[in-house]
Amino acid sequence: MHSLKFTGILFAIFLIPFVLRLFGLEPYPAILFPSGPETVKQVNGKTEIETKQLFAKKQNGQWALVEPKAFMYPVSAIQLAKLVSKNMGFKKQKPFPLKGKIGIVNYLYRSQNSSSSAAEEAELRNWIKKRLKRGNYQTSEVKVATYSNIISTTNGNILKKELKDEKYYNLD
Amino acid sequence: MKSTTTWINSINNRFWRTIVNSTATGVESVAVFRIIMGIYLLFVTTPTYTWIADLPKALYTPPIISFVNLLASDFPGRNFLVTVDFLMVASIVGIVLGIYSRFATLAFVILKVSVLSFQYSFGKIDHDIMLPATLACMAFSGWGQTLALVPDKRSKWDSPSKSLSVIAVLIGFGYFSAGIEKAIHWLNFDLNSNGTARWFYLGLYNLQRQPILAPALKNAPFWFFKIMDVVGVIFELTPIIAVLISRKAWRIWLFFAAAFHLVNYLLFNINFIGNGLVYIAFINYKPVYRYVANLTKSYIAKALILAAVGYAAVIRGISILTSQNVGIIFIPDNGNANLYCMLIIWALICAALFITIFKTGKQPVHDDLEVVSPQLT
Repeated sequence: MHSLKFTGILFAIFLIPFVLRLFGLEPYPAILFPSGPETVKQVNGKTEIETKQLFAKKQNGQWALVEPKAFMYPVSAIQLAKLVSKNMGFKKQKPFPLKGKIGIVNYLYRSQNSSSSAAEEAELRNWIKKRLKRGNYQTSEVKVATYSNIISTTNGNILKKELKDEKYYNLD
Repeated sequence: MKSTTTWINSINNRFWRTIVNSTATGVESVAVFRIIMGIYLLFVTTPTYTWIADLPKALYTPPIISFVNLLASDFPGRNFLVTVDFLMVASIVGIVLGIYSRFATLAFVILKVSVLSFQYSFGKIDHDIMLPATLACMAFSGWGQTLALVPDKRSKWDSPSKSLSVIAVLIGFGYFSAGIEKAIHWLNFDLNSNGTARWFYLGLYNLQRQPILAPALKNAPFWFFKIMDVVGVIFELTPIIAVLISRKAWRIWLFFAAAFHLVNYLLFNINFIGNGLVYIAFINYKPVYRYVANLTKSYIAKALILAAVGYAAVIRGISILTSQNVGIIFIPDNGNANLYCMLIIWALICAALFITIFKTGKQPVHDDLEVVSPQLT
């Protein structure tokens, strides 16, 4: 049978990442499955969810929803949601944990909390523009719109879509 | 103190012995499973990772606690990724044909986890760790000792029963990590609060997923989602209990797990096909071992197998060099074909696991369990 030592190590391999995820520090690799315990509330046959969507201008100047699969290819389409949720990749400087006094902590947070350099932002703009061009969109600008969607819990359809926020990204 | 240590040791032994009794198969069985896994890795999931090289550095936000965050400050270059992709295909060929299987399996796991670490540096971690974890365990199962072109030498580390028992515990903990938070938030008597509905609506309207049975679920009453909440949490918190109850209970749980994933695929378009492959590791393939062994002795069969593997390897190579996805080998790469193929694979997995419930057989004796390893007493 597996030794007690082996069992202890296995337990630590499970437990440490699990606790880290509870504190928002999910490591990789780790034996963790998707959790997502958030809920929605139903009130009078309706519920509300927030969505963020990427729009770009078609050649006729009209804003159009960007089709995730074609835009992201060969990257998985699901990553578009992550991209729009993180400011399209345009990083802003954030304070480092523990007031930035510990070198190793600063090193670990260097990619998450530092802003991008001008060269990196230019590279990001080009990457987005390349994808827009491929989808026959105008390449000068995109916007991320945040909507509050009121959904009928009877038929699952959107009853009302309210614009909460719009953020424009100039790519030129 | 000594008696406490003895007591803890005896609990530990009893824990693993129970799990081994519920999960063990044998070297011949895991050898057949190696071929199934190899076919899956070579023909069904055919990702390439060269696209990572094209990602701008601004998008590089690796998990804070990950080895890529320690070692790299940017996505790797194309040459590195092309090399890794080719090495992965070579290691898969090693797995399917049984060429230094243990080395090939470990190489694949290291390469796969490395590239996935870079992929998840985009910001989103997919929780598909069970497949590499299973392969890492199976590398020490002795699955390359038979049905192999270049068989692995017998090693004192090889033990199919130990490998499978660890995989069962990994499954148990993995699901626990998913289910415990849901249990806290989802299990209540508030019929107006729901977690599954949130997954569904967000998938539909934010991620623009189009599940095949979405129209049916859209019209389902809200309380139906509550039932799904409860069933989901029970399912996720019970694998470790099932494996500790009996061999049959474990097989029943595995069948429900596969059915759960199939339903998830149909209703939410979330496809954890890799987990399906993990579940079928616990099927006892011994009855088909002789058939497979005889088949591989035929020159015609050998030629056909080598031709199919060679063809797939070439297609995968072209896919790597062109950065174009090829989908499932031998199947046209379009959404519908992929969908129906996946549904067929899930149906086969469910059917195989269902049959296994009734073919549990007697509790394995240790001679059956450990053809190779003398370690298990």
